[in-house]
Amino acid sequence: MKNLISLILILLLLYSCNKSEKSSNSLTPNQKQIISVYNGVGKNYLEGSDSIEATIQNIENISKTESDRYKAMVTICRGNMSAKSSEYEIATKKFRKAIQLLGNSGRDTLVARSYNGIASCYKSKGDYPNAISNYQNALRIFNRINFVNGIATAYAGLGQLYLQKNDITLAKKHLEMTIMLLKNKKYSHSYLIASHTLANIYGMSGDMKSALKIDEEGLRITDSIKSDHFKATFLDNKANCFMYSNQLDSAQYYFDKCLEMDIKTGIDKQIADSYSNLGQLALFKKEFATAEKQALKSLEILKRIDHKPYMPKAYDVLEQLYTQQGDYKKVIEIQKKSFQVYKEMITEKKEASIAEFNILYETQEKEKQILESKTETNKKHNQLIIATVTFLGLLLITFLIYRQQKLKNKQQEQEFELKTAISQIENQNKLQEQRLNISRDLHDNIGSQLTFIISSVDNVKYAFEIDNKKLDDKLTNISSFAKETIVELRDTIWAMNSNEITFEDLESRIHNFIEKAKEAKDEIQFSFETDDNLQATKLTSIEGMNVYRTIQEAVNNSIKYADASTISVAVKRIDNQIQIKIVDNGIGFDQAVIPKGNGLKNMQKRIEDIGGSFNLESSNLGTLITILLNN
Amino acid sequence: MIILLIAIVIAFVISIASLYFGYSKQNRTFKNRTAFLENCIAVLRKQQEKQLNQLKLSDVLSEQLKESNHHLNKIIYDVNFQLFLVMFNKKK
Repeated sequence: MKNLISLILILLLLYSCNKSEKSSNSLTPNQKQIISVYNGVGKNYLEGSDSIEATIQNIENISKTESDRYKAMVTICRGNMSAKSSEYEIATKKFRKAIQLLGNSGRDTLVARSYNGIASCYKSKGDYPNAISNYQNALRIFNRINFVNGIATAYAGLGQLYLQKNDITLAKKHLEMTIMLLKNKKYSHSYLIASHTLANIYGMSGDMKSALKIDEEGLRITDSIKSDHFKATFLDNKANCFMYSNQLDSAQYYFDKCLEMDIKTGIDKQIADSYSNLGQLALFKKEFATAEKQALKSLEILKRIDHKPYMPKAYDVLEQLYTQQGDYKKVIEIQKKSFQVYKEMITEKKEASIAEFNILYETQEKEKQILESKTETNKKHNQLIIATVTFLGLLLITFLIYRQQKLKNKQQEQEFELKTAISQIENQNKLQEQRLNISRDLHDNIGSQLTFIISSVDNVKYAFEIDNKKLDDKLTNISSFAKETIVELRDTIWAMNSNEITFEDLESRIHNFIEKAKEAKDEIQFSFETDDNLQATKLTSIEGMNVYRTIQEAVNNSIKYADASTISVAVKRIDNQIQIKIVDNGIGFDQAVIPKGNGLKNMQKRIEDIGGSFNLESSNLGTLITILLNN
Repeated sequence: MIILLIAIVIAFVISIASLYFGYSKQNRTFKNRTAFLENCIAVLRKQQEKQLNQLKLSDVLSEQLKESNHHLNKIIYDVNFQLFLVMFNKKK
């Protein structure tokens, strides 16, 4: 059974391995290329844009014959490229198209990435309610499939959004969440985004030490992954720290380097931001003309790409400049424009929408948490039931196995004991058999010797005329004694050779004996009666022999001493006992006067040896011997 | 989870049932073997009893033969004595 289960498991494992291998091998070269570009653009879309453009163009062509999923991948790549070029409307459309192609599945990372892309575009345009709504859509999917990288990316985006809205607390919360989620993936883009944004927050709040620490770490990472785009963001932060610490030369150095890298990567909003920073620095240096020039350049780019979130910074430089120059007319004009931009980004309606989205999202999150908690409780409950059932089952099985083993041991012991007993009995039987064989040989030998004696004595008597009466009597005595001994020997051998003796056997044996007795006294009437139901009753050889000898002795006594004319033997069953009565009509004897001789004593002893009782009654009318045997 | 639970329960039921049947089978087999061995012992005991009876009879017979031997020796001695007397008288 165990082998069968192991075999099935191995086969299933092999099948699943084979299946997974097949599924990865079943991709066409075109599909592999699309996936490769999609993953590559996801990681490096901000670098080397010309070659990326050509690559995306290529996969756009090959995706035409592919399924919607691959088309969606290409569309997402295109959306990312458009977003990079600050073409937010186009990028948003591309991402929406991707969602349409994918069927808006609630568990698809591609859909979630598309929502993330849309949110990023809205964020760049300053449309915060829509940005938050899309970030939340993305978060829902990422949370559902527990895709940590995706969750961190959405949180990083939200962190940046809240910073743009000047909500430092929420921004910090989301960014720290991102950093925590990606603490083991510091080389990921989301970590770098969250990192430099958090450093920015520290710088704004005057904690230059923390800000510079994060920047240094960021620069080390960006150097190792050779990402000019991210390096520029950390340089920008560092320069700001120096600028607000009044180290203007260092700030100038890092801002120039940052601008150089931004121009190299070609991201307009970053270039515009660098110009704004340089304008601010020029203002610190009292180089008003340069400050105005840089701020206006920044505004020009931001207006061109319609990137509202960075505009207030440029307007702020101009406002400070005109204030310091005392040109209040321009100051009011700039303030109006700045307020207009701010109003476009943040209105009460939009704020209400954001709050509504946040409440909705939080409610959904809480419901989700409750559901998860319930599921978890149910799972734990089920696990507890399974564990209990398994434990009880194992306990029962262990008990059964233990009981079976115990029984087996006990049975083996009993079997061993029985076999030992058999072996012992067999040995004893063999020994007894040997003894019996020896005694049989001995008896046979004695029998033949006795016969030889009888024959020799008879021959002597016949061959020689013995006139000495005494001698003749002695020889006759030898012959008759040897004959009696032979009879006894034969009787005993008969009993020994009979396993069981029936009353029928006894009757015929006693008849033989009577016949011989009759030769001496033929006037005696002899009868032997046995109940029909006792004919087949069997006695052991000892019992049979003792009963036979007792009856023989009793009959012999009646013939010899009682002068009886009738002797009867009757065997009956009385309850659970066998009664043997030997009756004669002889002269009897007085038991008080005549002591018991050897014959009577032997009779009593023989009967008592086999567990029976012996009783003798005698009067001048005859003698009655009653023997009771248990059967 | 429910399927797993049912699978575990079924597995346990099968295991327990097979163990129970194994237990019963083992018991039955043991009873048969024990009965056979006990039967053997009974036969051997019967045989032993029979042999014991025969030995007892043999012992009794041996005693009788001893007595007979003693008696016969005595008679033979008497015969020899009578023969000796006859031969002595004849010589005389």
